[in-house]
Amino acid sequence: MRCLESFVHMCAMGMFDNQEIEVLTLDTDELNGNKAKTEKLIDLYSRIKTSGAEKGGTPNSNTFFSAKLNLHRFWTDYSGQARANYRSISKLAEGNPEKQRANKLISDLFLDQNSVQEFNLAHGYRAQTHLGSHLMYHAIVEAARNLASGNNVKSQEKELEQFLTKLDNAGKIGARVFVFGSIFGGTGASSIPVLPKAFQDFIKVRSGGKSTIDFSKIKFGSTLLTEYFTFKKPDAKQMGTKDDSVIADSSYFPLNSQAALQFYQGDPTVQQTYKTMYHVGWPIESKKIGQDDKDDVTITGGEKQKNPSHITELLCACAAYDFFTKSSGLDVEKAEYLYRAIEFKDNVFNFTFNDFVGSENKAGETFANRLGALFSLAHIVLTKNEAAFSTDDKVGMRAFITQLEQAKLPLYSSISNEECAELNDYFKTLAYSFDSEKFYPGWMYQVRSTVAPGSFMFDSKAFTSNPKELKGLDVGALFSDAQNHWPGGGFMSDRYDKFVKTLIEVSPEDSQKVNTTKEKFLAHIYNAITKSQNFIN
Amino acid sequence: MSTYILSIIFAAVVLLIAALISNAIKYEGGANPKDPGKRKMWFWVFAIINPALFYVIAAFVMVPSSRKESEQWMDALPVSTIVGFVVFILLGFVLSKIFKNGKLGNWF
Repeated sequence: MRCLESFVHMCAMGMFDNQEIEVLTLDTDELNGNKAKTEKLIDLYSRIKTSGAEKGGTPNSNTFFSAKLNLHRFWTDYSGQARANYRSISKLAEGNPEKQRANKLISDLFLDQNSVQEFNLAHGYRAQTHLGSHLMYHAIVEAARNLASGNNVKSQEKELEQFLTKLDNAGKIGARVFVFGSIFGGTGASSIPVLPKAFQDFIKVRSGGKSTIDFSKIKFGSTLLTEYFTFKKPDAKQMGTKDDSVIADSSYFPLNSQAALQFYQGDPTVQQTYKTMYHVGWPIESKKIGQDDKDDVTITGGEKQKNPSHITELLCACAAYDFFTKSSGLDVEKAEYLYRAIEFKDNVFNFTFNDFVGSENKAGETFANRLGALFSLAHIVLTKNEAAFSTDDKVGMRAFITQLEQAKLPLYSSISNEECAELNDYFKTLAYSFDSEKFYPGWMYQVRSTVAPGSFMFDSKAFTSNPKELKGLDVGALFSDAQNHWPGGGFMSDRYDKFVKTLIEVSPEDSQKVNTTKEKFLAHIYNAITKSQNFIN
Repeated sequence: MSTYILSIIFAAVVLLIAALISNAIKYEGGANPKDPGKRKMWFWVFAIINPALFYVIAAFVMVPSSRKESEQWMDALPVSTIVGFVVFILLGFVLSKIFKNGKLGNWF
């Protein structure tokens, strides 16, 4: 789910120009904190793009928030006693004695009867991927059957149907589906191998056999994300109950990853249904998450599961960028496995912008420009225009509009305070926020902290959490490379002063396909920052 | 040279100084940026300084030595000072409208 969070931030920086992207969140845990956070982010993104009746806005080009995102949510229903664990959901105690015996035998053959068959599924598959693949496939096909019969149809099943109907329609001319998920955990690792087949069977069942997925037209890609974090080992006390008889133990994650990679290398179904798989990993010691958490139990899921972002998740989002933009390599019979190496020196990683999306067609420069522009704008909104330190209506984005009004450019005065507040909220999610005196790192700060003290394109000063240092921050000098600092403006001026002059000079262009006032406003700022950053674009 | 021409030249020079100072005032961010107010303030400060300073310099430094010329000079001085003040305001207004999206646009 956190890979999707990175993907949404890539959409916000404008990496998916002119695209309308259908997003499906798939989880076993309806209340999962990471899921809720990502869905909230997508909702915020859509509200930022919405103007008037056009919900979610329209796709644009060369600007912030250029892609249109449509969110669909599906979660498996493991609520209530009758669906709480494998044994209940599979109805092992139903039918005549002979049937019960046969069901038990086959279940016991694959799944440990005292633990795997009995743990509570509400928090996911807990690294039991053999069980998870079976149940995820079952849940998707069960949804198709419920929809076909019209009985007991749940809201999430309708959303899944909307997504798969769009996929079915798009598949007639060709579509690409990218699946995010780790291969060392539970839900993602369980779902990746079965999703293409489950989607195909959903469409077959739902259409009464009239339609299906043609894998030569709908091309699937995925991440093979190996272990990159650890967490507190569960103790015997916590595992004492049947509900928690199985809890993922992160000390096994490397082993899980190795086994999963062997599976993906050899499984013919995966090789035939996927076109490209991106192996992303963290080959040094994984950081422990939740160290500050005072709970004495391992968090298995639910609302409390809100893990910080990691650079490997950004790399997964970059893999999606590669998959969606590549012009060749998708007409293969067998999945292609891709990976990339990053410079590792003096015990730290050093990332350059070409490490994320490659250098072909200046993609690396485009990525650096757009990420830099978004980060600069975040600091302008939060730091320079004080949205991080005040709840006043006049701060943040509104201050930008006021600045243009004072320059006799009342072009964006019709943008409401509520719309400005949504943009301010987005930038708090992206960079940082304060609650009274307490500092909360946003996505970029969290991603960068996983690389620190290694290099991550931007100067370390750009990631300060000290309010005094923030207030003195030069928002035009965030990049490590001085070549991309904004021009100084000469005698008795500074970078921000010069930037505002540039902001007054530039305007949105027709090629950016911006229609509403808000889209024009964002494109206007994007153009001013891009011009200031001195990237060839 | 007539006091009228001198007052116009003086007004233009003072206006140039006001423009330089206004341009040197950096754009500020935040909820209540004070930079437009500062530019406006400096324009009006110089609008007041201009006639006062011109009058003092013209009356005490540039006054001709001969009595007759001195009387003529002093007779014309109040009106030329007012002319200089009006020219300052008018030129400032014109400049503000020409550069309406720039820093001088904050004058009016």
